[in-house]
Amino acid sequence: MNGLARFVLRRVISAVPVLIGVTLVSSLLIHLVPGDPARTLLGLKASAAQVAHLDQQLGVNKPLPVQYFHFLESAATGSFGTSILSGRSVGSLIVQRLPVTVWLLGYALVISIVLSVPLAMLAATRPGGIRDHSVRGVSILALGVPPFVAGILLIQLLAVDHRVFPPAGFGTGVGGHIESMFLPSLSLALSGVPLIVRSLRAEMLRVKEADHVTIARAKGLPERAVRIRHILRNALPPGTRCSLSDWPVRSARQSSSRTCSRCPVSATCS
Amino acid sequence: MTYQSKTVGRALLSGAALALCTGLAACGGTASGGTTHSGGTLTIGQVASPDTLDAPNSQSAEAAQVLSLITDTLYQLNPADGGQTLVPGLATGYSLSNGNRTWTFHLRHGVRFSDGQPMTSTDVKFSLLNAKKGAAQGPVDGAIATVTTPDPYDVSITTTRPDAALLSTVSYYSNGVIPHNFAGETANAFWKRPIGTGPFAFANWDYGVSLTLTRNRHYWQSGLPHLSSVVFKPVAEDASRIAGLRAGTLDAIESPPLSEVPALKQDAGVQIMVVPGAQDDSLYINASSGPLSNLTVRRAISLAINRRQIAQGLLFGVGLPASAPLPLNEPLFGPRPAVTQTDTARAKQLLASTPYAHGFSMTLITAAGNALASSIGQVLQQELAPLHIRLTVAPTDQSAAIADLQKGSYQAMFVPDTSGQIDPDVEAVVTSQNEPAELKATLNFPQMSKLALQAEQEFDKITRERLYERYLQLYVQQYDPIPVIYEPQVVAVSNRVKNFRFVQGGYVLTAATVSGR
Repeated sequence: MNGLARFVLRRVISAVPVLIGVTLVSSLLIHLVPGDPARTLLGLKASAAQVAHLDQQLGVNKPLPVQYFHFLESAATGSFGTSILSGRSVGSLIVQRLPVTVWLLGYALVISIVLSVPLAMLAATRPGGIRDHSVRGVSILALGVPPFVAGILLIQLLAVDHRVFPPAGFGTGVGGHIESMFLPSLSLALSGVPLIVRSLRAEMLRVKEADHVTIARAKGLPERAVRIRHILRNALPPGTRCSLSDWPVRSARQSSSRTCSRCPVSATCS
Repeated sequence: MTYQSKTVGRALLSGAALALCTGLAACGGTASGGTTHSGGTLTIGQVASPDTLDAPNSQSAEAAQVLSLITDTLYQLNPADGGQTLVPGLATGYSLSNGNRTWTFHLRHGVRFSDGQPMTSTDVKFSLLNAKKGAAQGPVDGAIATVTTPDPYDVSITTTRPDAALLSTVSYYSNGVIPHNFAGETANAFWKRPIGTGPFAFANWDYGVSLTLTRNRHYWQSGLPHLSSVVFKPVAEDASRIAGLRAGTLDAIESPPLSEVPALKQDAGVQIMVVPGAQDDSLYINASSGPLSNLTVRRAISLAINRRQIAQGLLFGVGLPASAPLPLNEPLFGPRPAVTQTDTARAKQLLASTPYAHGFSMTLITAAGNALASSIGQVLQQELAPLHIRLTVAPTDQSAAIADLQKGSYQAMFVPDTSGQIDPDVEAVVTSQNEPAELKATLNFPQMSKLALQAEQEFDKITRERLYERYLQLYVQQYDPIPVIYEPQVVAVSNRVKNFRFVQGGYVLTAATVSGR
């Protein structure tokens, strides 16, 4: 067994107790909340018989361990039960929503790279210059705007005032998705761009001083080629790694709390 | 006694009670004018997707809205008066016999389902008996004992005892008429693509994305509907629904936030339709012990509440000050009493005559997440301070709050309440039967309960109205619950749409048209 396979196997095995722990704690937590789910669903004026009937239907009248093992048993076979809200299987709801989520994240990633790389290059060309200050200033401002605020502003500007993009929806077909998902992806991307720009800029400045860049210049390579082939190429992996690995999770949390503890480039965490 | 909750109070404590409750309420509005022309797609932005289209098992307001376009009922709410009365639907009339226990409905001839099959009494019988079996809405039909079909165009419903509310019951959306035996399908398969005699036929449902209905070519009102299709889209975010309306991707949106209504009213392209009093928000009081068991104390609290200020300040003038703990869409309750005028001096005087002249502390439970309830709680805190009543607002998880109410472990609770039908029977009898024991302990309860049962069996409209008026008086006089405000149901419709109407439980779109964007 090679190293990678062993690593993956170890991680999968170690995830099992964590999963059991998480499901156990969350099941118990739900039962700590006072009240009866059937009564909550049916309302105050439902009769006791109605509540008892729904209790039985939902299976919440069984003892706690039985309920938990029933859940584990179903989950192991890929069945996560039925959503009370929609009456559909939870699995089918996840499958239905997954493409939209993947589209959103992928599209946002593409937009953020398209925006970040030129901006970072612009800023790193002359550190301390007006372009550098402008890019960094705008980055700090953008960092302070949560995606939901950016989203509403973008909708107002590009969907309501100028009807360029639809304000909501997923659209049909690839073209429809590209059009409909542009605004949500852009607002999500805007929260990631400042981080990528700042870390990429810092990394480019570091690589700029490296010996191989000096040699490239000494060989008489044009500045453009030096920047793209020698500086950007070497700065991209470390410069984008922390931002990209952290960003989807952080964006999902609506960028309410920004923690950059895992980020190796401290300069990007200001 | 089989009367059950029906839809009343299903979401009693929820901030989104209207969104969850199956009643849109009476009144409503109409956008009319312009020339009538066929075609066009009307897109409506809903707060959520329907839970299911299986009518007897559905619980959401969205399901009721969609199903009321697909199926028709024997009688229906009159769109002309905003749903204040019932008018013939699939039935042309009815006759009573057997000591008012048997209702024979005479069916309209020439009615076809959207699959082209003719509708007869066998279909009506099947529909009613199937609806009665429904877990969620079945209790609505608790009074129905047997259904027989004397001939293809007559259907006789016999009730367990005389029930004056049956006409309202058969008008309820869960009693919409579907083909006998689910047109040969299984129940499950049928409700995935339900068939009815309504103006629109089910076309497609991409769950969470859109639900499309198309014109029913066999609709019994010839030449109608005008629209070629109606599309429902779930848009949970308030801001996105409003943006969709303004951007023209949605033609109508339900429940815009009340804070946005004044701005929308200014918008030239948008018409606002308000159903006043679709929901009443009241303070449920635990009158079993402590200062609040004293009627004079409850009256003093009621006098200290400035309802107009709350309606104006917190509901942006779209809400109304409440004078009774009942929604406004039940015309038989008669005119509501006048709104209690705020009189803090008199409230102080009253309180001084009780052993609580120096005040007391009380806790008001609100549903966590119901922002309006919390804001009202804060206003009440200030308004009760001059009476030396120290009010603490305790936002509580909804299921915990319901449990508290059931157990009677609360002092005061903010409870929103809506009603799914216009007949007060549901509200009155249900209040008598299924209220928590501690609510039943109130002063006037035995008398109210008697009146409710009497009114249920009274077929003379005027006598019935009097009984309900008396019921209402008793309810109001006990100051438990203390009414605070009526919350409206609001729909914002683009000016492109003409003849858009809505009544309790759904939209009436038979005459609606939409012009190009």
